[in-house]
Amino acid sequence: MRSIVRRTCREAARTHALAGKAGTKKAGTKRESRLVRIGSRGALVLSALAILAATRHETPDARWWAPGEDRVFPRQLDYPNAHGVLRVLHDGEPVRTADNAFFMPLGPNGRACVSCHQPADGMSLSVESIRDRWQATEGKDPIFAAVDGSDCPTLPQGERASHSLLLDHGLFRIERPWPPHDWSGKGVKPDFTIEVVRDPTGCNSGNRYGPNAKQPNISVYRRPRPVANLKYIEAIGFAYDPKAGLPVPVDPETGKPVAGNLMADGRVPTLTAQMNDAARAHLELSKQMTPAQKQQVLTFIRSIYTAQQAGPQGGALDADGAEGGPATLRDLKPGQLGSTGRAVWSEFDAWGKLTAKQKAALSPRELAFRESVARGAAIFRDRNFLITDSQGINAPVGFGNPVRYSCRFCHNMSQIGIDVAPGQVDLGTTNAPFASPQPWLPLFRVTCKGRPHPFYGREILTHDPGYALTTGKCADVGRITLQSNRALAARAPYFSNGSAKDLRGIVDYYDRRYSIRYSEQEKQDLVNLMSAL
Amino acid sequence: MRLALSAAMLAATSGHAVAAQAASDYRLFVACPVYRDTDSGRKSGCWLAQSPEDGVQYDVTLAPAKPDYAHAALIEGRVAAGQDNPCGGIVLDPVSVSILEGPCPRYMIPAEGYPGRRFALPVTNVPPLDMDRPLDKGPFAKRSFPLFFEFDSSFISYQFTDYYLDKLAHWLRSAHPRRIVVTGYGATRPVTVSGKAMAERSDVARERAETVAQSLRMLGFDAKTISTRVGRDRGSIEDDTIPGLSEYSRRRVEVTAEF
Repeated sequence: MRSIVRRTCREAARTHALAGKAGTKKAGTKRESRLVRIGSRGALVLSALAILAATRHETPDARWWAPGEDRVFPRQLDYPNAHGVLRVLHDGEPVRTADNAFFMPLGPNGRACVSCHQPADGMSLSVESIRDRWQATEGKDPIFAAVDGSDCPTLPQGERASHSLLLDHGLFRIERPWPPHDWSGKGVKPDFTIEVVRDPTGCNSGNRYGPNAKQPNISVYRRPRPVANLKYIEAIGFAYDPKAGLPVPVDPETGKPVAGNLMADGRVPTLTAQMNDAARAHLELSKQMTPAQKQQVLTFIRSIYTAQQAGPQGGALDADGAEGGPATLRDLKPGQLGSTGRAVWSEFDAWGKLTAKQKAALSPRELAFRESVARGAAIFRDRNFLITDSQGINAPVGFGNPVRYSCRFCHNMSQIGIDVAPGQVDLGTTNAPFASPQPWLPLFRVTCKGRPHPFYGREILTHDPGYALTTGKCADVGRITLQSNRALAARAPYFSNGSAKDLRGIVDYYDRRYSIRYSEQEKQDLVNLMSAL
Repeated sequence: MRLALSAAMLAATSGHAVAAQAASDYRLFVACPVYRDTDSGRKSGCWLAQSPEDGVQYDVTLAPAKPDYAHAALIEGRVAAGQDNPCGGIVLDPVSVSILEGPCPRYMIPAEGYPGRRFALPVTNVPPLDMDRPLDKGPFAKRSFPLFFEFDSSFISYQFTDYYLDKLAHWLRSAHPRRIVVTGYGATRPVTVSGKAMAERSDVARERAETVAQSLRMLGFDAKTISTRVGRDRGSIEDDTIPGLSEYSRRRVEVTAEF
């Protein structure tokens, strides 16, 4: 226990020190608010000791897992964060990282898969961690590699400004071929043209980059997706994809149906294909990983489950009848539709029915939090509103435009909150006029050559065409695959383009987009729910 | 399901639709839909459309595919025997709605005391993959299955056409036919609807056949056993799944299993 306290205090002290260094660069309220956050975080870290001590599991010595280290990845890891404690479960024997391809720097830029899929960040990468790494390594960590860890490889790499999209918004550059290729690598003839309206990074202009380059390509900027809870991402619930008007897609290599829920733009059918894509694009491998290496990575990532385990007061999220935490994810069946099976976020329904005895045992703040989480789950499921002009929902499925439903219309898979069907939906996060102002991102003009888009018409202004960069269809511009709703507390910012800085930002976006008119209490309840997932 | 050409249906498609309408419970018209914002829970809103032919407001909410209030809709239906009026319109049931490209002003009206309909999972809902489904029992003989589509569309619609595709796929898996012939049809002979001649694109029949053939391949049927054809617009058919919807019946694919 003393060792946990010492390590945890060292962790808090280290982050205080980093905050101090960061604070010398920016004066005024930003530094103060960061220190307040760090101070709060330190307090939360200490308050989370209760859960850590009770479970006798350890916070690792180093929060950051660097490529090439020789450590042991145990069966369980706990990480304090601003909303409590995140737990990472490894459903298998402990792994020696020096022997596992997930942790090995296989390519010339020194990265490994773990570089962008950090356990403390729910197997993704938070802006907070990114900034910590910049400070700790003076910008030399492999995550800042020019290929995609900078705004554009053409920029001077030693300057912070050249990595602004990663440091300020958690975004990596994703280069897509133009015109698109399908899953089998064949060229797709798009039914739209694309022009660059604005190019703040320079990576959509010139001879090497952009749609007018010698080998045309489109650079967009996206958040890394969490590599955890994958049995849910790979699950197929039904034989048909209502958004495509076809059966669920088939992997051209194996001929087998696949879930269609991988990656923001659905550009790969399987985890193996994703690995190949990542190895080439992000690790800069000139040849594929060996079959043994791929199998190691697959086995490891399929064994990882992650979710928030303790709340901000230190209370366990699986206490008093609740079923929060990653063990539930590990143990339950994936691919279930919440509306006909286990209701989405029913893990917290017990907190809406606490007995007098249970309530009396809790502090007022813990009780208020638990009741808020339960209300948040009910709001998520049952607070209906009108959904409009959202491709993948209002068209072409036949639900009508508008249609009245709640968050669980799209976030319908039990335990995880993705779509049971292939879940590419246009919320408007990347398309004008719905997208939040993001002058730091490129802007493209898509002109539909065939049928106009059912909602946008012939011309669409977009920061990221999303699924359309895979299908070549104008109707798919801005459709982005729904993300896992788990471990949110550990991995801000949110949405594929990082446009929601925090959990409140997510709620505010939806409230604005669909004119839901949540009350302030409803918004806070939703934030508390998401912080507990 | 019986497939038969009907003389009455042929008469309707030859241009006597308006007269047929007036004399029966059959309605066929193009209109801008109106959304009534009723709230009886999820998916409980109402869809209304005024027929230019008779000036009556119809409730088309029961269509498997709902309208888009920014676009015109081709509406075909029959006045329902029971009229419970949850939405403030004459209920059409059965009814089909096809979204057209023509723009409409987005018009949403308040509930005005109408309750709408509480959502109920339709019968035409494809079961989940983890549900145990024993194969159909024989004997099996040559058989044709129709699938129907919205106007100018080859999209297999959710909780309707996908359900019937799933049923026929299940039968095919049970029956193991030697050949599967997929024939697409389009309503290419014009029909006058609300004063305008309407006909589908000439290539929609081929698109429909290819979509269904592709779907069968994706569902695991051997591509070598599947062939596609384009059929001439022979007019409407009768089918229990869309009773009395003659125009809808012209927009179809017929999947024939041969042994």
